[in-house]
Amino acid sequence: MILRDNLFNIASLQELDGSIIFEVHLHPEWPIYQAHFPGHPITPGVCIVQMVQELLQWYLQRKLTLRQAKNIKYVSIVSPEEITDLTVTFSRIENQHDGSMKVQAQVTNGESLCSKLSVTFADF
Amino acid sequence: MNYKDIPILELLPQRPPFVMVDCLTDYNEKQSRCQLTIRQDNIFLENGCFASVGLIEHIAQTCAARLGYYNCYILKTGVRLGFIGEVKNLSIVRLPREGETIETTITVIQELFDVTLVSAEVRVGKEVIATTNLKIAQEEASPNPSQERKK
Repeated sequence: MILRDNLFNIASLQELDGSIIFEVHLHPEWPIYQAHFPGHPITPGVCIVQMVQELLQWYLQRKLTLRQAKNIKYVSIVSPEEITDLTVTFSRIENQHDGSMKVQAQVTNGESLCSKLSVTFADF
Repeated sequence: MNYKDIPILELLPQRPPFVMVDCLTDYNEKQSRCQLTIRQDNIFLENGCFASVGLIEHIAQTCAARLGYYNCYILKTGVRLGFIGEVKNLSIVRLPREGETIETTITVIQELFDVTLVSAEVRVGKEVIATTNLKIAQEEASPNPSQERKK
């Protein structure tokens, strides 16, 4: 499942003080919203992770797979009826000896935190 | 009771194509189990592999099926919406391939009001392919859940 240009599109990219900051726009008409859940569209938590992965893939031009997660925390729900713009901030991307990458990222809507990730990606 | 015979859509709030368990195979207070065969039309299939996030969703829906069974067959209320609150210490050894059947066992660590903390183990046959801890939050049985969660 490819989410870029289906669930979301990249509105802008900015690099600031060592962080990589994406502004993304969500598409409320994405068909999966009708399955998750009927009558109550909510962005699946796993799709937030997939979006983070796809943004990093796009930035690095490498195909990645999630290998480990120290922690993925969901603080608030992203309903497309209320939220269509998100900021994804990568604060740390650290290459490991085995070729994998430790990544810290957070997903926010304005001032409010939606999700926080501390994960490891490897080449797919 | 043969849990396998319960149509999975009776237990889950998700609908196809976002249903990531085929059936509940075991249920008790502490431990439950679900199965999924990775079919060609699975939306999480990529280059013949079931994606990492598909695995997380499958584990979360194993929790959802357990809660669905409890709500429908024991409390005799209805299915409630649920959300992943936290994924902790996830480790993926390998991704399942198309055609393989994965079986996930969840063990309840703690249950407090509407929040359940479980440990999960995903296997293909005897091979453990992923482990994690997961926190699942259930929506209160409300007619308009998306409004309730508004901050």
